[in-house]
Amino acid sequence: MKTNHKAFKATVTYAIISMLSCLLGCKEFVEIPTPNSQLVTSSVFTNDASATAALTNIYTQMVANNRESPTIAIQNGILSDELTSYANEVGPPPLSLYRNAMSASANVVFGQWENAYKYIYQANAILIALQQYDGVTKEVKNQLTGEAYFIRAFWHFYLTNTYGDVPVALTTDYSVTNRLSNTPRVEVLQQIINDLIAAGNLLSTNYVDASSKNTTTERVRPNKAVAAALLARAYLYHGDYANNNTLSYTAAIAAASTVIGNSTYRLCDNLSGPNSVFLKNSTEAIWQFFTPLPSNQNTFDGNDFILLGAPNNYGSYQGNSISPQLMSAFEANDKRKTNWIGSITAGGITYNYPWKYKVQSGNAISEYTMVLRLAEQYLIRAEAKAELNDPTAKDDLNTVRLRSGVGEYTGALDRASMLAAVLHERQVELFTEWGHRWYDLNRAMNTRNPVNVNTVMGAPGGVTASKGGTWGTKGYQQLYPIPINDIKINNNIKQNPGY
Amino acid sequence: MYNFYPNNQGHGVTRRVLCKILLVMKITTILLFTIILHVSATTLGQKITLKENNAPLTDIFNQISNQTGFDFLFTGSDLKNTKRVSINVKNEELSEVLVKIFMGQPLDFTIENKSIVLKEKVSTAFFDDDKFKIAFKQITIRGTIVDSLGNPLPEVFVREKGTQNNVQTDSKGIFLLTLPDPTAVITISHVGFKTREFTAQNIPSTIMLYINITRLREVTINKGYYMEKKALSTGSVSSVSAKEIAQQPVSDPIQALIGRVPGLYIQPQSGISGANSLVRLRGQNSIANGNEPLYIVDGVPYSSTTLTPGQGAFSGALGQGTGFSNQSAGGLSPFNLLNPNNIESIEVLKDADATAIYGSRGANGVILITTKRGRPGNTEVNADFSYGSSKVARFLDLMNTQQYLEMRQQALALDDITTIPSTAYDLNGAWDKNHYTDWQRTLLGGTGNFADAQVSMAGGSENTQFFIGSGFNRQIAVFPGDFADNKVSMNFNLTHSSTDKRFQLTLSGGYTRDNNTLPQADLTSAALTTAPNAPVLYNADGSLNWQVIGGTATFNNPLAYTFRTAQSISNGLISKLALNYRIFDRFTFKVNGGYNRATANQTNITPSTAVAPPNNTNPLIRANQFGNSEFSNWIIEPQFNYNRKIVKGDLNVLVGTTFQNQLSYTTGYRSSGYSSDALLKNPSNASNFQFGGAEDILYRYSAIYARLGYTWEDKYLVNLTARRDGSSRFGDGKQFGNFGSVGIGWVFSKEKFVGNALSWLSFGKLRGSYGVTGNDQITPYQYLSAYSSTSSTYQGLTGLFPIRIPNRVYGWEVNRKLEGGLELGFLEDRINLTAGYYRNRSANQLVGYPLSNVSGFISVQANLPAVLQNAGGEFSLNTTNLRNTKLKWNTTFNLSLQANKLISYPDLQNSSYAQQYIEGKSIFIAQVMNYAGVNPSSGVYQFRAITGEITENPVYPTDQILMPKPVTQDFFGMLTNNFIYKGFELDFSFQFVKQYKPNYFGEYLVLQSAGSFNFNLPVKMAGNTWTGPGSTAEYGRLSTQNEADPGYRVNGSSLVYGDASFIRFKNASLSYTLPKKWQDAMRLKNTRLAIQGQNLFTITNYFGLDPETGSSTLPTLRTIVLRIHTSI
Repeated sequence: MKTNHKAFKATVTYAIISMLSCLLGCKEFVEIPTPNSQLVTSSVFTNDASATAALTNIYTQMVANNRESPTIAIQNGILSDELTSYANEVGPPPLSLYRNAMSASANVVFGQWENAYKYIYQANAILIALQQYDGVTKEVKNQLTGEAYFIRAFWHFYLTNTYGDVPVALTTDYSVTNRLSNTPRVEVLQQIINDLIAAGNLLSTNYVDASSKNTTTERVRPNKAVAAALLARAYLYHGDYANNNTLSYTAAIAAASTVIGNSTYRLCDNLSGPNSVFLKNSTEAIWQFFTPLPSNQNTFDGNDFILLGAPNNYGSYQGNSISPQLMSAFEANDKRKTNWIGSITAGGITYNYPWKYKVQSGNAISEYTMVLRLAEQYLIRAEAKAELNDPTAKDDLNTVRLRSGVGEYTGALDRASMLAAVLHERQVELFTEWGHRWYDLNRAMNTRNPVNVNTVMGAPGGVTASKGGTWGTKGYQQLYPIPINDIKINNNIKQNPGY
Repeated sequence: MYNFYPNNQGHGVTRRVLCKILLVMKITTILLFTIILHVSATTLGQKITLKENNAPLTDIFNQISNQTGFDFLFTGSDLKNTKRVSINVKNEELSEVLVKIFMGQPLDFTIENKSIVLKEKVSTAFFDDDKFKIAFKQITIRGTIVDSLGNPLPEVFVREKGTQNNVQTDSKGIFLLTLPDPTAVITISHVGFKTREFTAQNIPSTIMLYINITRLREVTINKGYYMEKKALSTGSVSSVSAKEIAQQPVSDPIQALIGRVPGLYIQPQSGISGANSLVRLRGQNSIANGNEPLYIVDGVPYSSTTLTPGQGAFSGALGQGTGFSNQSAGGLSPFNLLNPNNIESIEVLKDADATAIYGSRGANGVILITTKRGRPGNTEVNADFSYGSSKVARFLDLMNTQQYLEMRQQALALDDITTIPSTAYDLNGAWDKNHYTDWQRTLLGGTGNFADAQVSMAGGSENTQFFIGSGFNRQIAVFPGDFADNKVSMNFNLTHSSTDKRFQLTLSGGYTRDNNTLPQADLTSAALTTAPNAPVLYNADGSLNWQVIGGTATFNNPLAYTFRTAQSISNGLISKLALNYRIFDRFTFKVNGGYNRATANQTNITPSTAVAPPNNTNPLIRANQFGNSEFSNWIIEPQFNYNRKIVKGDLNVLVGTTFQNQLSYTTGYRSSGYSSDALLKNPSNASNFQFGGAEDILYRYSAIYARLGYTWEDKYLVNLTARRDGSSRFGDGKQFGNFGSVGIGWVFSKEKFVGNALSWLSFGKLRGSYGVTGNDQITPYQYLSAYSSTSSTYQGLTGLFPIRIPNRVYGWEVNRKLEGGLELGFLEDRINLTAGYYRNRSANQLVGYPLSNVSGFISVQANLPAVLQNAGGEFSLNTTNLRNTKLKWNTTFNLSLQANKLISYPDLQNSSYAQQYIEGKSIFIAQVMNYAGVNPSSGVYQFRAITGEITENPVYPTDQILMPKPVTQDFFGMLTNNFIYKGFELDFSFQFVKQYKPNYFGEYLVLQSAGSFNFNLPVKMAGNTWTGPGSTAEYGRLSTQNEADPGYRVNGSSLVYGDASFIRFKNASLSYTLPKKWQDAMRLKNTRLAIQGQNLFTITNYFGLDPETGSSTLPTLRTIVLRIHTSI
């Protein structure tokens, strides 16, 4: 017993010593491994595959996680004269958007503000990491850097069109980005142009696959032509917002021409069926989103727009039909009206819906989400030429018109008439794609187009009134309110006038 | 003045008259006691100071009478054989003095009311003669035991010291005890009174027992790593006993603490069973996060993180769809897995002295939960059953159908809409315009049953004790449908010590399973907003009525949520092993080891019957979301204890280390595309899966800590603690921090000069402490720049995304705590007062620094340069208003005052908090537009601009004003009264809170949308809205259009805040203990019947459903239960 006690005491003494000695060794105990679900940044950017995965996942977020394409199309569609919303719930954004009655209230954020800056952050993070870490091969590094610039330009473009003067985020340093002020729209557009030029210089000429260097027929990653296509659009917008800057229009024409002149791209003859526009990798596609897998949808546009019954009243997905204004905008024999608009009758009422994408759901992928396509390039060039009083504007307009079976343009060729004609053509060609109509109506104010957002929305018996809202003199409604919480956090950001 | 009443005739008329007078005096005394608490010491303390040498008894009587006001009653002959007295006493009890005086006299005394009655000494021993004593040693003694007011005390134990020979006094306080020897010592003990000892031969016939003044203070309090006598503690610790918990019909022990601990504010997040509570001890120390106290159950840290899985695992979808959405109910309370019935006590450690030994985790206080254990003695089986019901106690007055439809028509008219729109179903005939449903009563008015059964067994020998408890609790939700929270628990505790007491082992464990089924959403919002003429809920066939017109639902049936069930099954295991070994007499080695584990599995089912047409035809609509979370924690704490006496003081030294490892794992997925509602429970029937992600978090913590306590003659107290901590939540080089405290105390009532001067003061202590604690409550890995992967592929590549903006340089939050306290006991501790002042200053605050979306993430982990102060006062008063054999009355009162102030924030103007905080003000300030009524010409809400101008378009932020009061609690507290009368015990508590809060308008933001379809409004808006130019009304223009501009500003104006102070009849408990005779007959003990009520009623001017939980979640329920407790 006594020896037992002794042994025990010895054990305890040993325990004391080891306990005290741990004081020096405790550091190891509290240094923990990285969690299983996380990969440290340095290891992401030391090989081509994971660096590519970090970049292409931004597209996954855009197309699948956040459904940007149909979301922007629906938001801007109900805001303008494209869609009829069936939202009847109190409070949710769809109804206030539909009635052009948005407010800067704290609990609702309109538009892509949040998501866009998240994509921009990720693009910036990739730009920095590719500089910081070695291990990505030069060719891949160029392609990824180019895509990151492109993404940054793409989302600043949607931000400035939605919110006007917006902060331009070019770094991941939060001490900088959290204190940014609004940059005037023209300067934002200039930054977009700079980024797109930088992207164009770095991107591959061909489309690349997951290796980021090998060529593929899948048109799902930006290349030089994709950058040029967005550049053409950015120049056109820049021209409009920079007091009809003729240099910008000239540059828009040049950029659009490089795409139109590229034999990779041809307008599809068919609007539906085989070899039609919205099929995956169609000849008209400049950039499409790959459908991230696994997926039960081909495209979220198809999923959200194609009605299976009466529209729901949530107001967002499958809760909209084509507006009477858009239905009546089509000229006789326009194939787009018959090919791109579907209808369903429920409860004795017929609802028309956008039917550019034919597949509502299904995991055999035949369609990809279209982001940039050739028809728009013709219309960009037509518009820029019209701004410069170039009579060949009519030819580009006709290229698009003839495909749809509506015959050549027969109206006057003066600047105002041509601009109005292009605006109309864009309405019926690009409807419910990426919110074009709303941005076009807004731009028209600056191009002194007689048809512009105020005349369309606010005229007596105008669109807003028909939707049960009031436009009146509130031209400020063309811009969305900047989320109030962000203004509270960063008092350098100024709210748009009127909110 | 005194009087002698010499009366040779014995007890005559005079005596009877006297009795009446005395009775009046007695009542007066009682009244004095009960109503005026600051009673004069002369009538109560009865302390005598006498110095006489060889004085006649009458002189002594005069002096005593003068000093006490007591009269002496005796007959002249009584004094015949008395001896002269020499006495020297200072400030001694009357009865003690009397005992001394009559020691050698042939007289004895009894105290009757305010008189001292003398009579001839009845020999306490039958055989007085010395010779006989020797011959017949055995004697029988007789006595009467009374309290200090002279009331006889029944059931007092009189025991021959060191033997089993004992007896209890009868109802008149009289006992008879036979002893083997006149020199035998008897001890007289009674709960709540000081134990007295006499030798048999010197026993007076009347024995007075004094209330045990040290009763409250002799208690040892648990300070986690060590115990301290309350009287000698230098820290601020409050404790809540098992009895206080048992009086309340709650299933979450944290909710039983509401109002009972000064400085601790607990706000239930919802009345839904199992909902979490917001717990703040002494205010909010950290601006942004990490304000939870540290919870320790039987020595093992217990996570206060909600068990609701899926937060992050399924992008919040699970959190949102469960009735426990993060916004409204705060998730499922982890404390729901602790059975309140098995808790022995809960201690709340508050100041630096008590918390600094917890170092980095002690900044927000420490809550120690101790479970029950066995005691040596007979094995006892306890059983406890409760059954009752819960109901929503308060509804909001909303418009009826007529008022609602008038309001809607008005809105249409003001919008110039002449034809009723096709979507205005409430007006266009789609819905019956004469129908009326009180949605609050329909959806929230149900009665939830509360049933609870607990059985436990405890006992043991000197060396081994055990406790085993098991319980079942069931609460049915008030929502329509079949929803219930079922809880089964089991726990045990085993203590063993070796015969030489050198070695001790404690093993405890508990297991709880909670099956909580709820609707996926709280129906409260629907109950408050659904139009009163909305259609009936069910079709004739029992299916949900959607009031379908043209294939489309016109009615968003609120019961759809009840068809979507959220079931959460959680399991909790706690276990602990403590080994204690006393190596040398003064030296003890101890190891505590513990392991806790909690899991929760949640399923959220959406059947097609819960979806409105036409959406219900989508094959993917049937869905089941799964969320699982798992949390485990182990801890090992070896420690050494050393005690010794140095000079006149006791030294206590403790050194120990801690190793803790905590792992949590959450995951979630969504399955859809089931072919039938019946197949929903099994995911293998689904055609479509979406993985929500998985998250694993490891936390490791290690420390070394020490404590040095020294008490000098129980008078001067010093307590030093120190800790060095390392936490894995910080990046390289920032992991370690040093913390510590100094506590000092002075028990001044022990000083002679105080004792002599202030005889009414039974206890007095001044204490103070200062120390540094820390806070590491942040999400781990925030220093790590990392990517996480998704489940989607793009071009065949699995995606990676950045998970945060990393920050490598953040470190410990430092909380400096200063405290001063005064503890006083008056009149034999019948009145106890504790008053304290504290000041906590936290610096280097850890925050998820808010970023604008422009930065890509909305926050980054960082230290703020700000210094935030929380200061306040805490008072608690405990009075024994009445204590006699029949009626006992205790009152407890506590009050907490608190104020919060941002002391400094360098460069605040350029920080993310520029619009939110102001230096020198509370962090709860609200800066809002200054509401200035409705514009009579336009019906638009107006505001007073900074210029004084009234405008419809105030400019943000320049026109904002500061609300006069911060939006938080000003003060709060509780008043509890306890009455015991014979077998009855009545307890009732009133909770009071003075606070400011957003009102109904602030939560529902209705002012800008008033008039829209299917949104009912408070009745006070009926007929009180702007009708046209020139009309004066309290509320603005109605509109059917959810018109946002510029009315939305009213949502952020002074109109939406209001006083939310309340007084709540928090708890009442009336119990009756069956008479002993009956119990004996049934072989039962402690059999009690009780009726208990919780949240019985609330007095408040708050505009909203409930001043505590607000208006968008189910209010705290009124629960009334019947309870039976018995022991064998």
